[in-house]
Amino acid sequence: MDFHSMRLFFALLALAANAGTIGIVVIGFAGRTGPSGHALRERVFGAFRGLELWLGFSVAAVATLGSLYLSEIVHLIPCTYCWYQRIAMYPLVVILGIAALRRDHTVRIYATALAVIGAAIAFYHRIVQVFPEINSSACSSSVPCTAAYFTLFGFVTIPYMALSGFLLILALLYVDRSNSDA
Amino acid sequence: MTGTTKNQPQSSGRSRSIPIVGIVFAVVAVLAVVAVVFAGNTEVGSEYGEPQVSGQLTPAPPNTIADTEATGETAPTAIGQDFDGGEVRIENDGKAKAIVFLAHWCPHCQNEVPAVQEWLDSGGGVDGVDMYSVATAMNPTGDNFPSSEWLDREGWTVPVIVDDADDSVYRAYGSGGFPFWVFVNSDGTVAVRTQGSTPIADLQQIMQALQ
Repeated sequence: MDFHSMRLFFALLALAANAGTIGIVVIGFAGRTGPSGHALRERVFGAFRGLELWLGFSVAAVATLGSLYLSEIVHLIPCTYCWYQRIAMYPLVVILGIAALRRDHTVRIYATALAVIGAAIAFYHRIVQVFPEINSSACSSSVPCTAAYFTLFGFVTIPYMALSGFLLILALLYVDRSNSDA
Repeated sequence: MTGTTKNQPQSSGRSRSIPIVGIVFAVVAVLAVVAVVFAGNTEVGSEYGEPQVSGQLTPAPPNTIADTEATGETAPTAIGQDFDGGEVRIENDGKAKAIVFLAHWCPHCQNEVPAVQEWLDSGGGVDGVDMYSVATAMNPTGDNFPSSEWLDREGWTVPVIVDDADDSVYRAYGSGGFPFWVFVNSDGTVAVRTQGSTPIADLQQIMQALQ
């Protein structure tokens, strides 16, 4: 796959992640609406039982490999905020991977903390790309955080992809908690 | 966690009706195919110029809105072409100049260009000060590429020199943050340089102060 296919693939994965996140949140809310909603939630979330941490690990791994592809293969140099997001994303691969192997659901609290921090930075980064003046008045000639390397579908940029990944991980952790409480 | 074990066999029995892993793999595979089929090669190709540059200013200090590091130095000469192949010369012709370096991917430049154009369209500009622009730092895979289409779309009337792949003109003028303005007195010496969005009022004031 060339760069154009790869970035479209990543953008589509981000949209799929959004769909998954929204689906999980909607079903989570439905679970509070009454017996039938509760049954739906049990049925759907139940299907994830045992997979939650593995899926979270997979999302973090794909995001990590994607970011390494963009920086090491396509040579897009990460800006400062990109690095902060990497600092939150990369450890998730390790801690969710080990927790999935050990079925250690206490990982949720650590993974949630990292994912919330990462999501917050990614969200701010995406906002800065839209409203560059809130961050700085100039694009540095080296690696400005305000300028997107590329934008697909008019809104999917690299930090948007990162944000999508963090939110899906949070959603999966929520499913994990819901299944543990059940 | 321990409290869940009682319910688990029952729930996982039902869960087989939704094969999550299969769905995930299927979705990813479909998206990969879609990406390959529909990516197309939107590469527009580069549009670098071949400007001839002589002279070198002191590099602009980073993160500095206005710098006087190069004040008094002789502005480099740049002879190049615009996107239509017309010759554009930035040289010591006895006139004061305002030169703006623009990067198509920079959102501040994307905001500055229409603001300046609107000013010029409404009778703006300063008598005796010629305006030039340099399309530089071009990146064929970057946002808002190519520069030629962007500046066309904005109705940009300021003469443009198209920079080369090494950003030679931009580097000769000191590589400031975008949009990067260099103001030159009529004797060919640099008055001041500004980095980043420069409001029209400031622009006008600086241009009026040029000697």
